[in-house]
Amino acid sequence: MSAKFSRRQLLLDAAGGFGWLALASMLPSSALRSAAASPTAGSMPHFKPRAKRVIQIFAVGGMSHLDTFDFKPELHKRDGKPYAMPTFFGQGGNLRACPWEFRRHGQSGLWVSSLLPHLAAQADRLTLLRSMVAKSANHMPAVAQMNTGFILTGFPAMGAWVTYGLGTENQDLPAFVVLPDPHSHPWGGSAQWTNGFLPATVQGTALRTHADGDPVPDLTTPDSVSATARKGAAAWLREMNRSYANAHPGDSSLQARIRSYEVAAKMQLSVPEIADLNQESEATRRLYGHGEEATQDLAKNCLLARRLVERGVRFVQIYHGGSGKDWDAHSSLVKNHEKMAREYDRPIAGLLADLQGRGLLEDTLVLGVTEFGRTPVAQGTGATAGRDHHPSCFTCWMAGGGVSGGQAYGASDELGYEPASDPVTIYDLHATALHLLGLDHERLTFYHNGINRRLTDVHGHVVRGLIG
Amino acid sequence: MFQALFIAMLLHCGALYAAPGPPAPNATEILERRCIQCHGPSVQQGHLDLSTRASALRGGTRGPALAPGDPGGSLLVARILGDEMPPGSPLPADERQDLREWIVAGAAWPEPIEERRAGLDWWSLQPLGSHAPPTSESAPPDWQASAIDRWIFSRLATEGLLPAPPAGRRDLIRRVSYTLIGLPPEPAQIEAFLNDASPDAYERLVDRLLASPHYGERWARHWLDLVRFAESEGFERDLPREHAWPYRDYLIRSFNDDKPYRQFAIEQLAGDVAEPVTHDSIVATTMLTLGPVDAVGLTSALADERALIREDLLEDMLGTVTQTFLGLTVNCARCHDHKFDPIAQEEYYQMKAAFQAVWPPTQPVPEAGLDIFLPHGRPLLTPREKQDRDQRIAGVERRLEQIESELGDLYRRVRPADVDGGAPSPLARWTFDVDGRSDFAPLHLRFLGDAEAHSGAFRKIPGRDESPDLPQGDQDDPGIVPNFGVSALIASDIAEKTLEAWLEVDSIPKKAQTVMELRSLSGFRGASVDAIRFVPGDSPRWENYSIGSFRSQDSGGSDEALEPGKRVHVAISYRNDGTITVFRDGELHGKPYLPDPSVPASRLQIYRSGDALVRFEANQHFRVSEARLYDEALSADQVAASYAAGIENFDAARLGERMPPSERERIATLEVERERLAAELKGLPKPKLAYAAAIRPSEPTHVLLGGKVDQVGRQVGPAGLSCVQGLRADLDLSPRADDGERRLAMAEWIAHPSNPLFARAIVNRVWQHHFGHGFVTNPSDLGFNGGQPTHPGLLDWLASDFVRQGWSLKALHKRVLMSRAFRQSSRFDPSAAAQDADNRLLWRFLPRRLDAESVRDSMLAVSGDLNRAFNGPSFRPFEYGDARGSLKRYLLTHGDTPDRRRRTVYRMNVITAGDPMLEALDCPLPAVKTPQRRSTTTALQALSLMNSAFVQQRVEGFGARLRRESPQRDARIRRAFALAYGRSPNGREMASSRRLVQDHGLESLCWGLLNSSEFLYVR
Repeated sequence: MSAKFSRRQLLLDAAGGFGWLALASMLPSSALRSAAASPTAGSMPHFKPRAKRVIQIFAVGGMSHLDTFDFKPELHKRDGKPYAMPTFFGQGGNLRACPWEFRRHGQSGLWVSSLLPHLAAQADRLTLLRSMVAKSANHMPAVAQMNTGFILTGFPAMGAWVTYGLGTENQDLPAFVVLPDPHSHPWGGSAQWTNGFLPATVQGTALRTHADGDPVPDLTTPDSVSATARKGAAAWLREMNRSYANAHPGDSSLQARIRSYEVAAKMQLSVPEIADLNQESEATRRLYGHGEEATQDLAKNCLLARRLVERGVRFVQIYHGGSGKDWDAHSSLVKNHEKMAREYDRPIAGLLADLQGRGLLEDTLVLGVTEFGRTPVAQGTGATAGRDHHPSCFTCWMAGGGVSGGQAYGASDELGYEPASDPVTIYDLHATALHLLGLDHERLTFYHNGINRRLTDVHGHVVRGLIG
Repeated sequence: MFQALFIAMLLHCGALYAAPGPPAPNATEILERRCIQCHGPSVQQGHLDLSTRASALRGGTRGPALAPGDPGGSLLVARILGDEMPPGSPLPADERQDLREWIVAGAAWPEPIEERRAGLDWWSLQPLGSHAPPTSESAPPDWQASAIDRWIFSRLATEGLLPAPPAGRRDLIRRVSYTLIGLPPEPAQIEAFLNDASPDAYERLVDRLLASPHYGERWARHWLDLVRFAESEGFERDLPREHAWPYRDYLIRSFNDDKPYRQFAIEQLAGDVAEPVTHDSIVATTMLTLGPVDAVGLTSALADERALIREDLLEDMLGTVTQTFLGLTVNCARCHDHKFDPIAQEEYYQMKAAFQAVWPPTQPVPEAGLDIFLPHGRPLLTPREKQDRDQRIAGVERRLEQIESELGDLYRRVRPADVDGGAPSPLARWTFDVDGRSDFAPLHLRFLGDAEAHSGAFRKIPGRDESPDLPQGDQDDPGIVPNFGVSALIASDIAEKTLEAWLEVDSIPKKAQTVMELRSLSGFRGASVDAIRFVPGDSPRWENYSIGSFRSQDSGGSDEALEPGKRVHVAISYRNDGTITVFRDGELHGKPYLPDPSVPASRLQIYRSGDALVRFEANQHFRVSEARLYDEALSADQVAASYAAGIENFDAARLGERMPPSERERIATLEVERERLAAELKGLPKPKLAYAAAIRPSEPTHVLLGGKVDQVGRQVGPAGLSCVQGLRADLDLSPRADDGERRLAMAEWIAHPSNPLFARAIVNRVWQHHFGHGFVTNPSDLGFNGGQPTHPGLLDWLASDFVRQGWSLKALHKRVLMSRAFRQSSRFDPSAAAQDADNRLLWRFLPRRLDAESVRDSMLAVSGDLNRAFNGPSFRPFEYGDARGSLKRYLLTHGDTPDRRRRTVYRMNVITAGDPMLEALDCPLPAVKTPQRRSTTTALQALSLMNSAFVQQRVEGFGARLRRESPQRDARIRRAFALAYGRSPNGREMASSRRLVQDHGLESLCWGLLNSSEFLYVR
């Protein structure tokens, strides 16, 4: 029976402040051991973190590795040759070469296709994971696995786990912010950034990027209420809450409630300030492609992401694409990927350059992910042919955050069909990202309905070869 | 203390990162974590036990596990370095190094490694104990009366603690109102209770609340959390489940009727087969099917992906069943023996065997020529009703069939038997004279949805909603079945072929329309399809449709300018060499084309006997007058001749002219009779629907090794869990028992009076909701991870009493609520808190923030806006529409309509349409089984309470109510306090409230009250 236990519960539940690591460092480990919430925690071994925060960019729909980051000369040689393989929609076509040219880039000589010229120019900052393997060939479960480690609904997103582990550096902002594509949400919507069974303090806050009005729901005082009236009422409320808290000592959540209103008031000022991109110089905005039709949407979100991490937000997730506009090129691969790549390329390259220029890239892990790759065989024939879903091999990328750039980890086979060496599962990717943040994926656990749950389920190995 | 923590928090990031990492876990901790499950005191694979130094040195079948000082000679090290152990999850490098160093240093074993798992002697697996309540002489007399209080007091006393004094009556009525009905007491009720001097005032209050219909609403919501109640499918489309709400009403009714808990459980597990079967008991089985359904994945062309999704569905079902009713996480044993509880992997599959035939009521199924799974409902018919209805329908249909057959014969007699124009006879022809019957091969059509044959044409019944995937929550809605005419299976192989159709154009479609298709059934999404399709757009045309467009191509025909009112003839022929030719009005439509012959899917598709059918899709743009399927590729001449010959379209008058008068009279009589029978069929009351368990033919259950769908182990039949003491696991089923018998036997095993878990789990939950936590704090896990109960004797005493009282939840509530333990005050005692900060021993009543639903409902109640309508379809605070994506989305809306002023339990629980305010107040994602809510305090929560449209609406309603009910300012302020807090303002509060109202209006006060801690907390 530990008095400390209650304090720990309170801190987890209060105002989004404490990370679990912080708690582990503040409380004697015996207290944690007795806490039912995390029997395996023990004394928390944490590593020296290389990254303090994460920006994850999700290419929704399944970006083709074969047409972007994974050069397959053999596919060129065998273009149009039959190749039998099972596919999600069935009825695979013949092998199909990448319609774009691949070249070596930077000092590292990384191969990147002409679809992504600006990112290619950042080749020396990129680490490509060319041997990724996912579990599902189906969008929603595959997106869920990349976000939560599980293909089912209801598990916490990585951003929630990281927040649970590390807490926030800015009490006045949510620690985990999501920037959906202004066009539409990804499949599964808010279930993709849910806290699952973790406390609601770590849930992702999706900023409304698609519409005018409050970037955060209910951020502003209703129009019908005057500022002075609200100020007067807030003062009255503060006084009432204070005397109620004083009358009931020992109930610390009453203090946390007073504090939550103070933070909310600060957010009302700070969030619009952050969202105001006019504060950025013309040159910076241009760097991201802000102001140009194709790149405007993602440029906005990338700029916003930088402004958020600058202010201490722990985890920002940017979606590129959503239902109805995505990388899901079942047909018309050329048309689809040219459009999507044009939107994707420059804002992200701009983000990397900007983070570097501001000295933020060093301890900001930028993760480029997608739910799966695309098949080496065509789906359909002729000019309108596309590629089907391909979870058994695809490419993700990393930059910054202690990962040495200009390298490729793992390799796919000659057709990009399966990993040829060093396969990396999504569990491994998650374990590695947590490791870079100073978290041991096997010990960042939360008890729920019989199981000490982890982001990595019962799998995952830190990919040591990735870490510079 | 709290401020100090905040300072620590501000500092923690810097401090944390500078801190050197503590040492890695020592070697015995590694063994404990990695090895002991299989090589420990209870399981000794290879006869090896690593829990003590002696047993490790003794070793197993392969010899000693280690040689202290000599890692090279230690079997343990060799097996680990060889990646053989632990199987499938090799150790990280640092742990390998630690083990080596530890062996070099002599392999010290400070103490035997304890196994961190439950054995067969685990407390919750034992039969209910029958201990007498302890007596404590030091207890005050009123703590000696009830068994509950004797246990609570005695446990407190052993820790040197005392309970708090009794709560004041104002706190008490508010507390008991929230715990039973989730709504605040009204000021008049508070006053009446305060002024009631009779000794049974409190008891009558409890009785009144237990009898309130709001009680069922409150406790149904707790249950909905447990069973992951979702009114949408989740996953990619998150389609709405229009028929899930009857289950919510079933729960409300069951709680209000105080249905015996055992019956309540059996109904939810097997109510569709347990006598007496009623509509209610069928609805109850909705519990099994509420998990998210991956409709897209279930049609994957990859068989393993489909199988995995099905296994995930079943795991979700098993997890919900066993966690809810037994407090055991049997689902943890899907891939391996349970890590913490004595449940073998095989036992998971034995339990699964009882539920193997249960599916969500998705509809339709691929066998009907449909490749989509849509949420639907199971008709609510008892076996008797179903039999009666089926018989009645069968009678009418038989008669109808006779009439249509006779009518068809009459018409066909005067219709030329062969098709005209020199074209060969088709394999089948549909003339849609009066029905979907075919000539030649018997490929008669069944009509689904709004498809029908009418006046000689296949068409969509006009005037119905156009979007089949946009159901409207109407019980009488025939459902969301697409509008198809689906033929019987074709009984021959078809290689070369021609599809031909005559269409009457009513309007020009804006979207592509498939008219007539030949499709195979195997392969799900990868199935073969060849179809006549109209493609609008820049170059409107007729095209062959195929999945993946492998055989689709713009043949280059001139733009199709459809003209409403005109008939179009379309034919597509498919030759052996793969050439596809599209014809329009008897002429080439563009050029014949040859899809890439090197791609198998582009070549001529062969449809196999028994695996293919013809499907017509009805839309409001075209009517199909006649269609033909040929099992050969017609030449251009043949198509031209067929077109030139035209069709003898159904025209009663014209065909009638060729008949003798007697036959014409006969037709008239038959038509009248046919109309009458059709009307009779239509007039049959439609059964109501519920998202209840749909039963499909049961398949054998096999153990899946490692939980992998492609590693099939031995077959198992249904059985209970052998670890439960005092109850046989064998269900005494015959090997031939059908799904219903298996499931019912399992239900009875789960809810058996001798199953100690069944009663303990529910008693613990009831206690949890009243006191804030249960005897066991993980209420859905009474296994090892749930820990030991704080008051084992009391838990068993209550559980036994519960069984004795006929499983009455209301009796259990009353016993708990009448206790002094429940009625003590929430006074804080620092010295007690130092010993028991979580109040697990109940030295006071634990104050708590209202849950999300109670906050919202209370705001409605206090503002006078609450709409107390019970039951019925959920209210939908969203629009369901096409929001720039290809899939429909839920867009929250904030109108203040009467249905939205209903209690929150009636809000439609759509996975992707959560309410930001409710979510900020810890309302769980509907797909998550949530045995216990958390209570967080966040800035987003504050923002919602400050600014959301809902709160603003309630603030305005509250203000209007005060103006309505009280004449002047001070009275309004007093009334406002009475409504929100159940008390009057003190002098200081009165003064500040007067100032607030005067300077900033009455609504400012309302807003302040609804945002205040006193309103949001119960104590």
